[in-house]
Amino acid sequence: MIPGCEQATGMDDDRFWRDLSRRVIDRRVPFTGSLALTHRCNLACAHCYAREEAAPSCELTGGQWRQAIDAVREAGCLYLLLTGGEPLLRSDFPGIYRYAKESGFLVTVFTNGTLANAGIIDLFRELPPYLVEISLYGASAAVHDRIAGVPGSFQKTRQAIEALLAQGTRVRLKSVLMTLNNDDLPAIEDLARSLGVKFRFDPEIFPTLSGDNGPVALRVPPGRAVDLEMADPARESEWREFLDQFRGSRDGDGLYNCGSGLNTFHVDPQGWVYPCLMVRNARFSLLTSSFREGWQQAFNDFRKVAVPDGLPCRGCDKKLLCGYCPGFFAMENGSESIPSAYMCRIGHLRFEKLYSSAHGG
Amino acid sequence: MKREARYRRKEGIAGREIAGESFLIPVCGTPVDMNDIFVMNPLGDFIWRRLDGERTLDAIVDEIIAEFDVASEQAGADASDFVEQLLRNSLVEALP
Repeated sequence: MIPGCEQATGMDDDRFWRDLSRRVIDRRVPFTGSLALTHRCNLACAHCYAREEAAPSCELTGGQWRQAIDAVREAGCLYLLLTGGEPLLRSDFPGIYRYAKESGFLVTVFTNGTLANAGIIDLFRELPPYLVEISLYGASAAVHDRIAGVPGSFQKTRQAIEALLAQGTRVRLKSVLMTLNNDDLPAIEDLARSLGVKFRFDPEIFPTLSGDNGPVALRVPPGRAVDLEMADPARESEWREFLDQFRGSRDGDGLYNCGSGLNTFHVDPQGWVYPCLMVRNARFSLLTSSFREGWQQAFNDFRKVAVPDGLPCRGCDKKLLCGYCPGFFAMENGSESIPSAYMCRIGHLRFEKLYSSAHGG
Repeated sequence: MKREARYRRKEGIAGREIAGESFLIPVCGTPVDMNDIFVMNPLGDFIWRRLDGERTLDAIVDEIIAEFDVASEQAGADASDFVEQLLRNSLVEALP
C-alpha cells in the first residue's frame, strides 16, 4: 500500500516544519546562507562594518557565483541572502539573482535601494524575492543622508520602497540605532507604519571587518536603546514571548549555541566561506575547496569548541536577551571569551524592563 | 481524471531535494510563502519526475507498479489523486 496521497502538501503544517528543522540540525544541512556579492557600496554609511573597498577584480565573477549557488543548492540551502556592500552595484546582479531564483532558493536581498532602477523593479516583479530588506536610517533626508554620507540617497531609497510596494514585492525596512538617529527613531517607525511595512532596528554596532573601532563610538547608551525598544508595546510583547518560549532551555556545552556553521554560512566577495557573518576564525575558500568538503571539514572543529572556563555568560539567565555571540565578542574585544560589556548591559536592561512590567513595575 | 491524458510540469517550478525531502518551489508569480512550497513523498517525487508531457498517466502508473510493491488499482488511484492536487495548485498542465 502506498502511504496516503498527501504528496503535495503546503508547508503550513507546523509538525512537518519542526521535524524538518530538527533534521536540518541533526544532519548539519547548510539550510540558510548569505552571499556578500561585493563589499563595495555607493553610500558611505557612518556605522558600516564593511568599509574596506575590495577591488572588483578580487571579487568572484558572475560565473563563480553561479558555481557557488550550484554548490550550496546541492548541499541543501533553501534560504539564500544576497547582500553586500551594496549588491545592486554589481552590473551582473540581475543575472546572479535570476540564477538563484530559478535554482529554487527563497532569495532575500539586502539593499539600500538607491540603485533599484526600472530594470531591477521589473526583475523583482517577474521573479519575486522572498523579501527585500531596505536600510533606512532616518525619516527625513536630513537625518538619513547625513548617516548615508551621500545627499539625495533618502529620496532614492524612498522611491524604491514605494515602487516595490506598488507592485506587491514583499519589503521590510531596517535601521541601525545610533547617536545620529535615535531621536528620529519614532518618526522612522511612523513612516514604516504609514507604508504598511514591517520595521526592525538594532542597537548593535561593531568594528569594521578590518578592525577599525570607529563605528563603535556611534552606539547609543544602553538605557536609551532599551527604552526605545520597549516603547512599542508590540515589540515588548515579542520580546516577552521570545523569553517565555526559550527561558529554561538547556545551555549547550559548546561555545557557539546558534546555527553558525551548523546550518548557516556566509560567503564573502572573495569566495571565503565563514560559519556566519560574525565568526571570522574558521573559513575555507571556494577557490581551493568544494563547498561540501569545506563545510564538513573546516567547521567541524569550530563547532566542537567548548565554553571556556570563566566565561561569565555560562549559565547567565539574561543570555537570551543580550544577543550572545562569541563572534561579536571577538570582533569587539579580540577574544571570543571576553563578552561585550555594551550588549551585556543591554541584556540586563531588557530583562529588568520585561520583569518589572510583568510585575506592574 | 483521464488515464490516457498527458500532463506536463509547468515552467517556473523548481524541484529541490533538502534533508531527505523533495520540494516544489514556485519561482515566478507572487512572493512565495511557506504555504506555497510543496513537499512530496517518494511516490509523489517519482510521479513528478515523469510528468514530461510525453508519457500518459497510464504509462506512469505502469512504471509505479514496476517500481513499487502495489496493486494496479491502488497505483492508478494514487497517481490520479496526486495529479489532481498538482493541477489544483497550478503545478502541472494537462496537454490537449
